[in-house]
Order: sequence, then C-alpha cells, then structure tokens
Amino acid sequence: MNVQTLQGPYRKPNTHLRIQSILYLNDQVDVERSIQNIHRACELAISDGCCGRITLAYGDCSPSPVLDDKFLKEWGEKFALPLNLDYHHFGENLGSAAGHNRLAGLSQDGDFLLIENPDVVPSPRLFEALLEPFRLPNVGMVEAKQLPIEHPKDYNKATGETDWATTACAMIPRAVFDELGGFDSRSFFLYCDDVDFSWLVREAGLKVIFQPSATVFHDKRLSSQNAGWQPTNAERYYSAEASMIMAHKWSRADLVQKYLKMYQAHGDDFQRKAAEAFVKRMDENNLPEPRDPKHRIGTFTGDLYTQHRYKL
Amino acid sequence: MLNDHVSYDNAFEHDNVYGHAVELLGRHLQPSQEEGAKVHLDVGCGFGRIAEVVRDRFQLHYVGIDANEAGLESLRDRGFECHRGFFEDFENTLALLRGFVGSRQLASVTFLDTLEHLPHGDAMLRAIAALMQPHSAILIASVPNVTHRDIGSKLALGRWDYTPDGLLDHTHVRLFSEASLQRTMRAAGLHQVGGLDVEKAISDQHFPQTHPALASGTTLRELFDHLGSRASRVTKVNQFVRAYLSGPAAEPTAFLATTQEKRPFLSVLTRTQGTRPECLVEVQTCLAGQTDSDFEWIVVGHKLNTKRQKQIERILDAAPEALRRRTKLVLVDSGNRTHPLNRGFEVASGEYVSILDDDDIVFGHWIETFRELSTKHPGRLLRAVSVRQNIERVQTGGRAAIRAVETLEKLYPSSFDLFEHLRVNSTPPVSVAFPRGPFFDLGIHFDEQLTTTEDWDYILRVALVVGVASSEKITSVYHWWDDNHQSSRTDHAQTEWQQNHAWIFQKQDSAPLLLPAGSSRLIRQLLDERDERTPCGSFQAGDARDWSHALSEVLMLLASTSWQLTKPLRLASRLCGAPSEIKLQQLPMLTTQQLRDIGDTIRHSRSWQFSAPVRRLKGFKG
Repeated sequence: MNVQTLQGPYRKPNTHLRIQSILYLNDQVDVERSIQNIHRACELAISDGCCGRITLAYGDCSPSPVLDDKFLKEWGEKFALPLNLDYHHFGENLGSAAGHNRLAGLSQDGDFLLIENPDVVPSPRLFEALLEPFRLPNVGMVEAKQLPIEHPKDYNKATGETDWATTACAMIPRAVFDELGGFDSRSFFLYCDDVDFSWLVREAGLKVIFQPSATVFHDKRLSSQNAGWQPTNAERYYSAEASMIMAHKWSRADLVQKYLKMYQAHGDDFQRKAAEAFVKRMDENNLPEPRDPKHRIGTFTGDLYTQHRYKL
Repeated sequence: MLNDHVSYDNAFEHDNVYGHAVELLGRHLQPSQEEGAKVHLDVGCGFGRIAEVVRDRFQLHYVGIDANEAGLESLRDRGFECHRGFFEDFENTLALLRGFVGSRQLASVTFLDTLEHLPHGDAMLRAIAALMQPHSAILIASVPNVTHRDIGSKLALGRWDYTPDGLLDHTHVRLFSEASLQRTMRAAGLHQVGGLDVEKAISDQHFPQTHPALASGTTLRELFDHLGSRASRVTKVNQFVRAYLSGPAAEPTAFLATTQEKRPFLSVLTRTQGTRPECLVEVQTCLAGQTDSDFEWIVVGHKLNTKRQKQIERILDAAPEALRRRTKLVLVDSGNRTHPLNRGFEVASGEYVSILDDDDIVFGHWIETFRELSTKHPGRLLRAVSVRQNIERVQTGGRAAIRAVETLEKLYPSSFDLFEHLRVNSTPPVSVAFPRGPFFDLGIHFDEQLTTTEDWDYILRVALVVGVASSEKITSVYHWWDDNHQSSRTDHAQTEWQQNHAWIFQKQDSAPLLLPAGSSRLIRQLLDERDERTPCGSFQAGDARDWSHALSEVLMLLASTSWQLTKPLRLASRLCGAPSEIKLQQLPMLTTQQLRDIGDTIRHSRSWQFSAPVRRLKGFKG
C-alpha cells in the first residue's frame, strides 16, 4: 500500500469526513442524542479548520426504519449545515461488517471514514483529536477512548500504538478502507470484524493508534452484583463464533481446537450453537484462508487479542 | 389597636422594643443641617413611651398618632403633640399623615408593634414610604416574630395559643416571619438598612413548661434546637426591629405566589481548579450522554488564574447548545476545598444537587436512577453505587489524557448502611444526590472547618434528617489517582485527616440522632452480637461514653505534633520488623480496652518519649 497517500488529507479545510453508523432496532432518542452532539463536534471541527465537510451516514438494518420521515425532515432542517445527513434503510440485518461495507460503497465521498456505534456521544473536539495522529506517516487507524468504561487493552502510553482498535469509534482513511476491501463480512457478522480489520491494517505496514484524549461516551451497564460485564445471549453467540473464526483466519489451529472443545464441552447453549455453526462452516469449506503463518500480527494473549492492562 | 384586655402601656426599657428602636434610630438618623427641630412621627404610638427619649436625645419634635384616645391623653398631659387617626386606604392615610407633618421637615418615623394589628397594613406601609421619600427620612419598624421557637415547637406538635398580648396577641391580624416581613416591606418600597432585634430565649409563649418540646432538658427540645439553630438565625428573636429607607417597590406583592417554581431535577456541581482540563472534558461528555437531560451543570472554578479560567470557558463553550444553555461557571477565589461546595449549592436551582468532581465520571443512567429513587421516596438523600477505578495522567502523542490502570472495583456496598456511616464513609459523593431542602430550608451547609472528608460529614448530617433511598445500580466511577498527581488524598497530611475525623465524631456526639424506622432492631442485633463476643455479660451504663472518650484520646494522640514529628523513627523501626502503623479506619471497630491499650502503647513508645521536649514546650497535657 502506498502509505504516502495517507498524509494528504490530514487536517485541511477541504478534508471531507464521512461518519458511518449501522442501526439495528435502536431507540430513536439515543440516536437523536448522538446526532445533537455530533453536530456540535462538526461545527467546531469546521470552525477550527480540521475539515471542511462532514457527512453523517446511517445504514439501517432494522425490519422497519428506526428514523422516521418526520425525524429526518426535522433533523435535516435543523442540522442542514454543516452536517449532511445520509440515511439508508437496508431492510435486512446485515450485521456490522457487511452493513458498514455496503454503506461505504454507496458513496465514494470522504477522505476519512469514522466508523462508530449509533449511540455514541462524541466529546466536542473529538474529530480534531482523532485526526491528529494522521500528521505522522504510516497511521492506518485511530481509535477513541470510550467512557465510562475504558477498554482495558494495552497501548503505548507515549505513542498510543496498540494491537487493535474497536470500531465503537475509530477513524480510518478512506484509502486504507478501500485498499483493504473494508471489513471481512464473509467471516464476521457482529464481533471481531474490528480486531480483524486492525490486524489487516498492521499487516499492511500501518499503525493502529489509541488516542485517549479523543473521548466518546458509549453507554454501558455493569452488573450490580460484581460490577462485571453481563453479555447478552446474542453477544455470547457471536463472540464465541468470532473467536473461532479469528483463530482460524490468523493461523492458530491450536486455539481453534481449544475453543471448539471448550464450547462443546463446557459452553452454554449459545456457545454450543456457535460451535455447531463453526463445524458446519468448516465442513462446507466456508472459512477464510488462514494468514500470518508466523504470527507476526495476530497477537492472541490467553483468550484475548492483545495484552490487557486489567481485567474487566 | 383596640384590646379590651390590655392597655399596651409598656415602660421604656433599654432592652425592650422601645430601647432597641431608639438605639437603631440613633444609628441611622442623619444629623440635621437646618435650624429648628425636625419632626419625628410615631405611628401607632400608644402611650408614646419613647417620646421623651426621642425629644431629649435627638432634639426632634415628637408627634404621636394613634386611634386609641387613652394613650393620646397621656401624651398630651406630658406636653407632646399628638393626633387621633384611623388608617384605611392608601390615599386617605397618606393625606392624613402629610396633614400631620404639614410644612415641617420629617426626620424619622417609628411604627412599633402596630403593623400586625392593621387590616390595611400594606396600604399603611406604602403611605409611610411615600411620606418619607421627599424628606429622606428613616423608618424604624417592629413586629413580633411568629417563628420564635416557642411558637414553632408547639405548632409542629399541634398546639397554637392566642394570648391577651405578646407574640400571639389575639388582636393580631397579620403574622410575620423574617422573610415575610422583608417581602412585605420591599413590596411597599421600604428597604432595610439595619436591625437590632429583641431576643428572648424564653418568650411569653413558653408554656406549658412541661411541654416536651419546650422543657429545656428533653431530647425533643435538644433536637428542635439543633435543627432550628441552623434553619433559622431568628428562632430566639421576640420582635424584629429594623430600620428602613424609602425607595421603589422591589417585590410585586407582599405574599408569595403559590405556584411551584419550575426547577431542573438535578443540579450537577463540578469543582475544578483548572489543573486537569482533560478530566473536565470527560465529565462534560458523560453529561452529554445522560438519558435524563433535566439537569443544570454548575462548574465551580476554585482559585483559577486567568489562563485556566479561559481554558475552562473554552471547554464549556464547546458543548452543544442544549447543554451550554444549562451550564454556569461560578468563580470562587477564597476558602478551602469545602468552600466551593457551599458556593455551588447556593446558586443551584435543582430539586436535588449532586457533586460530580472533575476527576470522576458517570454512566448514562446516573441521573435517570436518581429520578427513579426520588419518585419512590421524595425528599430523601438518593444513593446509587459507585465503583472505584485507579487512573493516571498520560501524555499520548503529546496530548494530555487520562488512562485507567486497574479494574473497576466494587468496594462500596449496594445499599446505604447508616450505622456503618457513623464510623466510616462508604459512599463517594458522586453516588449521591442531595435534596435541596436540607441546604436551603434547614441551613445544613458544608462544614468549612473540614479540609477533607467534608462529603462524608455532609452525607451523614443530611441522611440523619431526611433518610436515604438506595439503588443497587452502579451509576458512577469514583476515580483514584494512581500516580503522584495532585488530589485530596495527596494534598492533605494524615494528621489533617485524623483531626477532621475527630471533629466529625465530636459533632455526631453533640446532638441527638434521628434514626429511621427499623433502627431499634439493628441496634439490638449489634448488641446481641457484641454480647456473644464478650462473655462477661451486659454492657454497663457509661461504657459508650468511655469508648467515645478512649477513641477521642487515641485520635488526639495520633494527630499530635509529637506523634507526627516522630514518624520517621517509627518507619525505621518498621523496616526492622516492628508492627505497622495504626490505621485510622480500624479504630471504631476496637473495644474500649483495646483503644486504651493503644493509647498506653503510644504513651510508652520510644517515639513518644523522644518527643517529650516538644510537649513540654507546647504545654501538652496528655
């Protein structure tokens, strides 16, 4: 990849930023709160000279539209400038990876893509902070820090360099996204598409940066009993499925077997179903081609995809 | 003032309303530059017992006005000008008063213990104000205080006693608190410039003396006094005696509108010294993500220099308009870290007030959970759960940021345990919302003597009056600085923390405790558990006092200069294997004997002996 092309659009008055979110049965109120704050961040980014044009694109995978016509008309009028609202109802549940790919494919606009969850609330000067690391060469992806629960994965305190970035809120140069073919939607539906994409970025010789001064609010809840994370059934299923696919794709056959046996023998209903689905894909030869045979990129640390600073 | 039962012929005394009125008049009367005596008008003069003093002390021409002929006869007999007058509407009253003054210069007016008897008092006041204005005259007015503690204590328990005269004279048609008097006067265009109230700790309403709310030895009286003394500074005032000047009306009416003022649900108070702007951005972002947006944000900048102030203003200005509209920056240039809390509360308009310091963060349902609790238990202290997380400050890519360094720890219990809080705090301030009533209606403010643990003290004082509603939901993250970054934990010496603890314990013991229902059962359980551990039998009377004394003794020793100065010696000893330093948090869990043993150990320790010269110099008695 010609990384020199990445240095072009950093923080220029004509830089075009395209923000992408995939909707699926979201509450309109949550989306509204997010848009309100995105709008302010856009005003500041443009007035501070960080970029010149910003588009907010939604791909809605819900059976019926989350954002109705009235909402779109009102918010379109309210936020006509400087934020262009671009809403597409896909009418089918594509998952996050395929949803983002399709949404990105609908327009070639944008020097940068900001991939984010639709309920994320940005801090006012988020865009400036996320664009900042692109002043350096070889940066392929910059991730924001989530509040109130900061992701525990490790990063270099001085440079922000890290092994992978979540796409709850991450900035990617459009050229990098296109060059890598977007997310691997054939392999991943809901989870690990971001880990996989990050590793592809690093495989291409680019850096993944965690930018702790770029903050977004991403509402999460903790269990009252132990302050722990309580995954939903869907989360249990898709994260189990994704863990086996990741291990396969990044040439860790040992881990594939380990996870498979663990889910089959000790998993809950959802993890057992995920194991079944994985075996079926294996039988159908429907798995991605393994890569990184020397494990230069794929950093499996225990059951995690990189070293964590603490347990969550 | 027609009263068949009393004549109101009270003698002039220096410590009664007449004496105070004349003293106040002396303080505010302008010296006359003109020849001839100016007029002093005594409206509702009765027997005019101030007439001689006003004439002799101020060389004023006294003119008495009243409807009661008996008093006027007395004044005439003593050689004073007086007039009979009945006061009704504004125009007639003003015309009447102007007629009495005529072309003479008016210096002053007294209107003593009269307003409360008049059905048209507001018109009368406006007429007096209009009369005074061209002369720049001063008014001294007095009214009885219906909020005197003797009246209030009985009324709270269903008793109200009119009497022939006095505070609840049966002929009174208007009753006044300090606030209602001020509003009445301001509505008439009379602006207070001074006061010299008459205080009576025991008023004419102090009966029956056996009433539990009045008898000075009862716990109930102690409780009322404890609450009352903070709620109002005039609970012992018998009559308000105030000085006024005439000006434009400053209130639309003498009475309060009954409609409820629309308030935001929550005032979020954020203290900042401007030293960590990146933290303030995180707080701002968490607030922007709240599911319940019915709040205002008060940022109290404490001792900010211009550069930091501008930096904070830039952050606040960057918020979306909806949040910006609800944000106030309050600058406080004095006091310790507790002072900004009182200043912030003073400007808070929310039904509840919560402290979200600039280094803590909250979940999206932080306010939503407070609201759920308030709906179920209006007026209580609202308490959800905080988790603790250690953080550090980093410079990543040249930009200052905050980095979590440890897991989220659930160290604080899921519900509020009042008894536990009597000895140690397990509620970070960010996890509670205070109802506004205790601060604004009961005068329960943050104790600015405290330089640390001011939040624990305030939580406890509020909880003991209004009770607590708890939610098990985790709604906030209480941050602890992991590095040497400045925080209250590093800013204050251990001795200061100990002194503050001792002061809080002392305050707890100085007033009766108001415990919620169910407390008796808990106390019995605690006593049963203690008896199981101590086979010698029942607790003796006086043991609690002994324990409290032993605890205070140890706290005093630990906080002493001698003990603090010799800390390095003990550190050296510990390195050689000596036992570790005594931990403050463990003390409340020890028995009286254990506390005494610790006291003895300290006194017999080498470091205590070593520091004997210091104590001799300071005259230490311990």
